[in-house]
Formats: sequence, structure tokens, C-alpha cells
Amino acid sequence: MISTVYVRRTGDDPIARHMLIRFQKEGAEALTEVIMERVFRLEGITSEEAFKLKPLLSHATTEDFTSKSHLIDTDGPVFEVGYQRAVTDPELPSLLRGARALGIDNLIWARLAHRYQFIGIDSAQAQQLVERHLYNPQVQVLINANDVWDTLQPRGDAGPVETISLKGLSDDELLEFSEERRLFLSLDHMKALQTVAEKLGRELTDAEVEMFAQTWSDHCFHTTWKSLGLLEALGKATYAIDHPLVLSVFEDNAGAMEFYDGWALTIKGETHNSPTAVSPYGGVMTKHGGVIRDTLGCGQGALPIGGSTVMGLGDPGMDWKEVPHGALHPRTILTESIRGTADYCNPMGIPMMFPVYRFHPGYTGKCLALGHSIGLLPAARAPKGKPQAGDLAILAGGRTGRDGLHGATVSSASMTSDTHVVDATHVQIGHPIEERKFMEAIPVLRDADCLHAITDLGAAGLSSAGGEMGENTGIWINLAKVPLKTQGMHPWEIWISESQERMLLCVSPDKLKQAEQILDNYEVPHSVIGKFTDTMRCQIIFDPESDDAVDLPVSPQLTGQVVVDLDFETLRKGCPLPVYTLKRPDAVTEPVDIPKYKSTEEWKNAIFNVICHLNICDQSSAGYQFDKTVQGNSIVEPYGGVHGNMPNDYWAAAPLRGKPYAAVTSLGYAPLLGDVDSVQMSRLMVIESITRLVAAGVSPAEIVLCDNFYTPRINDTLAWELKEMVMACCDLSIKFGTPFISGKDSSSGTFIGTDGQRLDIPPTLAVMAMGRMPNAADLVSKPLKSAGNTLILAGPASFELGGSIFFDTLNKRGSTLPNPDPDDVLRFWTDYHDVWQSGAIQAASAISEGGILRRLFEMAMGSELGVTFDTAKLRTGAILALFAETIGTMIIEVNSDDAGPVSDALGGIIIGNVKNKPELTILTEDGNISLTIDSMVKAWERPFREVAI
Amino acid sequence: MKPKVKVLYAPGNNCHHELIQAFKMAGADPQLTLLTADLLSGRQSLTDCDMIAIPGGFSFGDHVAAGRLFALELNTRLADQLKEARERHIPMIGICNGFQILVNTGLLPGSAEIGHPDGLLDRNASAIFESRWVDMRIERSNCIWTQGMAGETMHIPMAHGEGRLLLPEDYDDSLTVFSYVGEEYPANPNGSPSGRAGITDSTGHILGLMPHPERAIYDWSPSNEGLRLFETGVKAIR
Repeated sequence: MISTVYVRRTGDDPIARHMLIRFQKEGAEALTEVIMERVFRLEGITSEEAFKLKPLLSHATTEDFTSKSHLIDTDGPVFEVGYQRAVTDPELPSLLRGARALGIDNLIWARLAHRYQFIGIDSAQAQQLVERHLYNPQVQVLINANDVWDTLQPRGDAGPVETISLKGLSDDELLEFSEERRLFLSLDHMKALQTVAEKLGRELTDAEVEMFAQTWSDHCFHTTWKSLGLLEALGKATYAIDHPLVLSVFEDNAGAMEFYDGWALTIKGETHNSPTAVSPYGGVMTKHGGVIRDTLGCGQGALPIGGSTVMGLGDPGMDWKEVPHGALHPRTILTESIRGTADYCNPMGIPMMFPVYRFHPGYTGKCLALGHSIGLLPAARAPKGKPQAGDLAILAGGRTGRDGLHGATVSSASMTSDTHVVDATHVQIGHPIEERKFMEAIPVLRDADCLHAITDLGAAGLSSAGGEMGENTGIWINLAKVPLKTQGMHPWEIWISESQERMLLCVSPDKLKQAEQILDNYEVPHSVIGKFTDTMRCQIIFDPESDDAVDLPVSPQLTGQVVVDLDFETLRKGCPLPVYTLKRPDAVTEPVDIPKYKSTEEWKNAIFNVICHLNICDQSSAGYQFDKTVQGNSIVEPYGGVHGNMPNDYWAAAPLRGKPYAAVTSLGYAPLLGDVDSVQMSRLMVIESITRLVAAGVSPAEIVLCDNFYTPRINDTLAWELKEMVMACCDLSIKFGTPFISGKDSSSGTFIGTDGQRLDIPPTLAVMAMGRMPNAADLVSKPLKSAGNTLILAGPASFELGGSIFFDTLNKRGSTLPNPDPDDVLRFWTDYHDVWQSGAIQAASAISEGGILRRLFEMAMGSELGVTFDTAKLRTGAILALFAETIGTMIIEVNSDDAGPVSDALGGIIIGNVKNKPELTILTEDGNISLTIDSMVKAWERPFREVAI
Repeated sequence: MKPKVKVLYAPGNNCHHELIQAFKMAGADPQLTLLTADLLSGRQSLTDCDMIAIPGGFSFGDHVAAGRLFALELNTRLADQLKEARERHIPMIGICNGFQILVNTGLLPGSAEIGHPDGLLDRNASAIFESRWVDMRIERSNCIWTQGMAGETMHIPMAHGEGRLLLPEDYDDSLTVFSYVGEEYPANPNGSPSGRAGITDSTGHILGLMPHPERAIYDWSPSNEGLRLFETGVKAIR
């Protein structure tokens, strides 16, 4: 028995209204109205009983609750979107629970679908909107209103384990097999697989082949980086520095540094570029979910205390006709990614540190989707836990489904025009409520000594997590004990599924009861799926008849169907690495004649063009949608100043409740620089991220770094470039004594269009710096403080315009990037820190994209004060003085009495002063320009808001 | 003896730690109380305390509607305890999702019976989640949480997608405790009629508000003006 009820909003429906505006902006100009209706299908209850659920399913005064749909086809096309029949609705447990609360105990299953009616457009146009924005074909379907349902419950039997014969296959046949199964393995890899089977003297199972493909993928194994020796180089640099605050580097899901009072901070950045390019809403959600789990799985479990979203996108204003076939419009990725970040991060309750959107034409085919997560845990819990033979493996969190198959392998491949069709399953689905539950439980489990070890399920799912955790003991898992949300899955699919919101816990048998009690208290679903053995083997079975793992010996028999039976030695070794002949690319030189502006009008245009550039203009219309104050510890948020709209240069929070100790982070990411000289860009990003923290008052000796490299698919010249980028970072890191303690690489930044045209991203590096500060009240803030104060440019200024925002406004790149001497930079940081300790610094801001002009404008905006800037003081000409991105320098505000001593101590130059009137007055050789801050703000607010609703 | 505060939690609530901290700093003894494991199991009673606080977040994922399932559990399985709490005038505070829950129980604005909500915290007029700092004016009311504070303003954060407070036509405006300073967006971030941000019930013991005073309690934060609300509430029952 299935009853159906329809719930529709009466009167104004803000969601439908917002959807209408969004679709109109997406090109559906003829659309005049969107009407929404929710459909609840309820199994096991009569329609009378269904009406008793009214208080659960609808609001008494603002919603209709009926047994018939209000939406009639003749008024406009109607589409209904629901979950596929094989998939369990995420709302199911809530609906069952609510029904029981209302005394309806016989509800056995429920499904929720949404009906949308579109007025003013035809069915084909409506369908396009639905397919593009309102459903995910991976787990959802368009429901035919005439469908008859005999049951709502997912049905399906598990498929068998199959064996795969690679014996005697030719090169062509091997490649064909790799392609058909979407393994993305090269011929070398396929041949290595043949050798493995030969050595074992048996055929491999489907799960074993899949596991090798995942394990050997670039995403998991970092084949590119390993072949170039880059992970080793970064590690070596960090070990050489031997920083006293560093507790854990690289070997874990995240790196850890000492904080105060026996606590540690963790840091991790993770990209999720491929899924986001194909399905931005889901891709971005799982980007956040994944990097947050890296924090939860760091050491013996850290609490996430800050997050970021860093997006690199093509031009959101580009003509729809110019979007490469198979790629999404950059604007679609932008708006959908904003929605995804809001819908994942807000429920997680983790404050947003950096909502950053940068634009570069190279990201048109493949975007950058980077997220960071920082965490807090007792320092004693920072080392990775070690499973012991006999420990139990508990799978905690959401159920396992078919979503996210092949994520690791697809992520490692170039995206082609049909990736979104053929490999749609690689996009995972995010449900933050599941992750929020174990975010609450993990610190409790940790503090109760319940966890021998913990890791998250990310790329390659159980096969990667189980493999990593079990490689020093051996692991035995019965996949029949894995709770499923999709019925009819093959064992290999369960083994490599990348369903989100799952953690693998290693718990000793004597702690099992307590651990289960804690998980129950916090309503985290959990299942003992296996145990850690003493076999040094990865042994996976599918046996519904098997006893529970807790009742089995330390190393159980392989009963039922054997899914995987391999020794870890075979799995870890034998992956052929690609070989590159490093080739230095030709230098890009694009000499640019620096324009000469005569009239005030020309100057004003140049200035407005720079501050209104999409990369540096006001992006708060996105940032205001993300919770920045949850947890109650935020001190310096993404935006500040008297009107709450001034972009801050760093983020700070005091995460130990009641203590003033601050965790301080900053980001360096400027993709335009990479076009000119990616190696020098890498140095500059290291310098910029540290300078931002030093300006805040953080000691340069108490900073660590996290790198995220993202390059196109590697060829010989890109291999040279990547290696040089990484080596430049290693060298600087050693010179500054600032270690990289975490990071991630991706070499999948290439899109191949239908015409075979290759579209590469610019070589990208984002550096996050993290430091600590004993008293949050001492942080230096950015807004100007008082009229009459003096402004100093301090630090080793290198005036170049290559890769600058200013050149981009002229459609140029130039040929030379700023090149400050690292020794001078280090000396400046140390000197500045001394001056800061003397209390002379009133305000400071580190220079980055947009140059000095941008920072003066922002400092004034945050204060309702104004600035006079005498460009002649810099002896560079006004254009360089205003727009050169002199990374490694800062603008410092000091009391006029302190101006002389401070500028002497820092080798700085006095460039102007603070005035009462909120305007920017720029003195040039050819005359003066005056602009009101208000007029600048009005222009600066507009460009991003117009493309990102 | 410090007043005992039950800070309720269901999966998806995510502001309980800072709420506990705020009550600690205000001189109370807050206890995290799990809706399912502590209350529905019968291990504890909702009324075994001096104050009840419901924190913000997305309880039960805000499935179907914000705060609805949490409220439904209170209204059905804990109906007697909830009635007793109201009759005994145990002070209650609901912040953000907690406010949505109190409105869904019918305790606020409270002109109807428990289980028959007569108000609604609807989608923000902008239809998007908003996270901003707001200024709230404290109105003259009989609310015990704000005695002696009328006329002051409070600078604290807000962060919600569903905070537009729709009230029955016969709503008595003397129950309004907080109003946004400025009725226009973004000073009024959700489009609440008359800029209402927080209300009390006719007894003045139950307070619901959308912005987050528990996020503004430290001297080193952008504002510490939220702490006074907890201090006043705790003082009121001593």
C-alpha cells in the first residue's frame, strides 16, 4: 500500500522566486514563474493515516496538504525529480522517526520528490533547466507521474565476484580493457598487472584489478610526483628544517603544529577539480566533506575549526557560444559552487576562513576547486595511531552506494568533452548531516581512548582506507557487513565506492562496547566490518553467513566469496612510474609599453579598472552566504572594518574556549602570475602567505605551510616546470626556516575538447600559511586608525608589472615578475616583528594582487578615513607605484612621531598619511587625482555580484 | 549552587559548545543533554534543571523544515515534561535553530496550545543563507532575559537561511524583545516584518531569537555584547 500526498506553498514562495531569478540570469529570459510542490510517497499506511502526518510534512498556515497535485500540465511543463529506485532517500530516517512520533508505526518506507512547473517556456527548455540545475543523474531520476509503484523499497541482489583474465592479451587489447572499464591505466600499468597475475599464478578478481587501478592512480599514488622525486624533496626540506613546533608532517591526512597548553593545530588542503568541473554543486560539497574528514582523521581525530573554498574559474562573462563543448559555463560553476559551499559548510558548523574566487581563461575547461580545513586536537593525540592485530574495523557514518565510483582514477585523467556522460558516476553525493554527527562523536571517542587509529574514506573508498590502515598488520573485511544505500551492488563496487561521510575506526576489542555506546549516543550509524590481522595480507570476502568479526579468531578464514586476497607487498610495489625527459620551456616574453596617462579621466579609468577586476573586487555576495562566526571563536573574519565589507588579509580565531590564544592563517594564490613565470610565482606565493601573517604580528619563527600544486597533464616541459616550482618552494622553505607540513598535488588540469583541442590550466600553486599568537588582542588590524598618522611602505619592494591585475586590465601579461631578495625578505620580517613588539604598528596590510593602490583603498574603506599617497616618494613613476604587486612588502600605519624611527628600522619609505576626509588623493608628477572612497566602493561592489547571484 | 542549564542537542545542532561556554561565563552550570540518549530514553527529565537552552544548527538536517522534527519529538514524546516546564516557568532560550524549534512547538509566541504552532520562521526574503553582524535594539518587555537592558543595542552575529518571523495577526507587539536596528536589508538581514529578531511568551520566561549572542562573549572578539544576555538570564533566577 502506497499513499501519496502533495505539499505546496501558498502565497509567496521565496525559494521559487529565487530560482526564477537564477534561471532568468542563466538565459531562460522567457520564464515568468516557477512553481514548486513536494511529493511524499508513503508505504504501509492508508491515506487517512497519511493525513495524520500533516504536522510533520507541512506547515499549517503557509502550505497546502492534499492528495492530488496542484500542478496541471496544460499551464506549463511539469517535471518531477526524485531519487532512483535503487537509492535510499537521505530524509528517510527523519520521516520514519517523525511518523513514529505521531503514532504512525506502520510507515515502512518513504520517498520525497520535488515537482517543478515552468511558466513561459516550452518543455524542451524546461527540461534543460531541470537537467542542468535541479537533478543529479547519478542518484536521481525524472519521475513519470503515471508510474505505478508496487514498493518504494530499493530492490536488488548483490552481484557475484568475477575473475578477469589478462593472460595473453596484446598491447591493444590491454589498453582497450583499461578504457572499457574506465581504469585509466597506461600500457605500462596494464602490463605490470599482467605480471602480477602471472606471479600469483591465478587470475585476478574484478575487485583486485579495480584496487590496483585505484592504488596506482596518480590521485592516490602520486605517480607523477614520485617519478620526479618531488614528495621526497618537500619532505627532505621539512626534515632539514626540523622545526620545533612541528608535530606531524606529510605521513598523515593532515600536518600538525604545536599550539598552546598542550594542544595542536592541524592543516590540510585538498582539491576536487574533476567532479567540480562536471557537477559543481555535488563536486564542491564533497570537496568540503573530504577535506573536513582529513581533519577528523588526522592523528587520533582532530576537531575542524576553520575551512576555505578557493575556486579558479574561467571568465564568468564569456559568451555561451564560446564555452567548449563538454565543459560547463564558468558562471554556472561559480554559482553552483557557491550554493554547494553554503549547503555543505553551514550545516557542518565550521567557520569560513577564505571564500576566494579567481578567474583565468585557462580554467575554462577544468576549474580549480580547492578547500582547506584546519583542526584542533591534544598534542599528545597528534601522532597517527597504529592498529594492532586483533583490533576491530568499524565503518561509521553514512551508507555505501554506487555514487563516486572511479573518482580516484577519473581524477587522475584528462577531462574530455564526454567525461560528464561516461564517467558521471565518479561524482559523489554529499549529506553534511551524516558527517556532522561523527564530527561530534570523534573527539569524544578520542578522549575516551577508544581509537587505536582512525582514517577517512575518500578517494578509492574502503580499498584505500582499509589498505592504508592495514598495511602494517594485515586486514580482513567482510563486505556483506557494509550497510548499503543502493541495492544490487557488486562486491568490487562496495570495495571502491567513494560514498561520502564515512570513517574507518580501529578499536580494540575491550573498547568496542564503549565505542559503540558513544556512537549510539551521537546517533552515528556504525558496523563492525572486519578486523586487523597478523597476516600482512589484504583479505576481503563477501559472506552474508559469516559470524561477526568480534567472534572470529585474529586472522579469520576466507569464507564465502573471496573478493581480494593479496599481500601488501604486491599492492604497494610494482607500480611503474612514468619517465620524463625534463625540458626547459621557452621563456614567455611579452614586452609591454607602460601607458602614459595624461588626463585625470584616464587615471580614474585605470584605477577603477583595477579595483573592479573580478579577482580583487568585492566578493562578499558569496562570502556572506557562508557562516563565518559559528563556534563563537572568530576574531578576524574574511570581511571586517566599520561597514563589515573590507576584505581582511588573514583569518584568526581563538579556538581554545576562554583562552586568548589565536590560530592565524593566510592564503597566497594569484593565478595570473603563473603565465609569466610559474617558478617565480611559487616563490612569491610562499613569501606572500608568510608576509600576511607577519603583518598580523605572528612571529616568522612560528609559521608552517600547506601547498596545493595543480598542473596540466604532465609532459616533458611541464615536468621541468613542476619540478622547478617545487624545488623553488623547498629552497625558500629552508631559507626561511618555514616548513611545509601538508599539501596535495594534482596533475589533471587538462581538458580535451571534441575537436581534440587541448585546454590547459595555468600552472597553479596555492600556499596556506598557519601560525599562532599568544594573545589575540595583539593582532594588527587592517583599517586605518586615525587622521594625521603616517603611512610607510616597508619591505624589499621589487616594482614589476608582469602578471599584474593592471596588465590584465590591458589584456597583457608582461615578462617579468617581482623578484625580492629572499634574504631581504627574511630580514624585513624579523625587523618588523621587533617593531611590532614595541607597539608602534597601528595598522598594516601586506601587498598582493592589485598593488599598493588596492590596499590603500581597502584600508580606507574599513575606517571611514582617507589617504594621501605621494607616488613620487617611490621614484618609480606613478603607474608602478600604484599597481606593481610588490609582494613581500606591507603598508604600515604609524603615529607621525614614530614615522622616522620605524621607517629607519625597516628601511621603509614614507609614502603619505591618513586624513579625515574619506577619499583617496594620489599625488603624481603630472598632477593630483582625488577619488571618494564611496564612489570607489560603489563601483567595486558591482562586478562580482552581477555574475554571482 | 550554580543554576543548572540543560543545553539540548540533536544530530545537526552545531552551536551547543559555544552556548555552553556562554552559560559557564555567566556563572551557570550548563550540561549537554542529548535529546535521544538522555531525554527520549527516559534517563533524564527535561524539567530536572533551572533553565533550558536550545542551540542553533541544523537539527536532523532540517529535513522537511527547519527545526520541525526536533519540535515534533518534544511535542509528542515529551509533551508532559514540556507542559510542566512551561507551567513551572523554567526559563528557556532558543537561538536560531533553537528559536525555530520553540516556534514549531507552539511555545512562541505562545498564544496557542503546545503542538499547534501559530508562528513561522520562514525563508529569508533573499532566499539565501546570510551570515553577517547585526545590531539589535532591546525593546521594553517583561522578558526575564533582558531586564534592565531596554533601550540598549547589541552587536552580534547572525547566520541563518530561515529567520523571517511571521506571526499571527493578533500578535501582541509587547512580546517583541529584539528588533534589528534598521528595517531594510541588510540591517534587517531576513526581511522580518517590523524588523523583529526575537520574541518572548506572555510570561516573559521563554525567549527565542535568530542572531547568536553566544558568538560575542569574549573581550578579544569583535564584540562581547552577547554575554550580558546570559548574565541577565542567570541572575534572574538566582
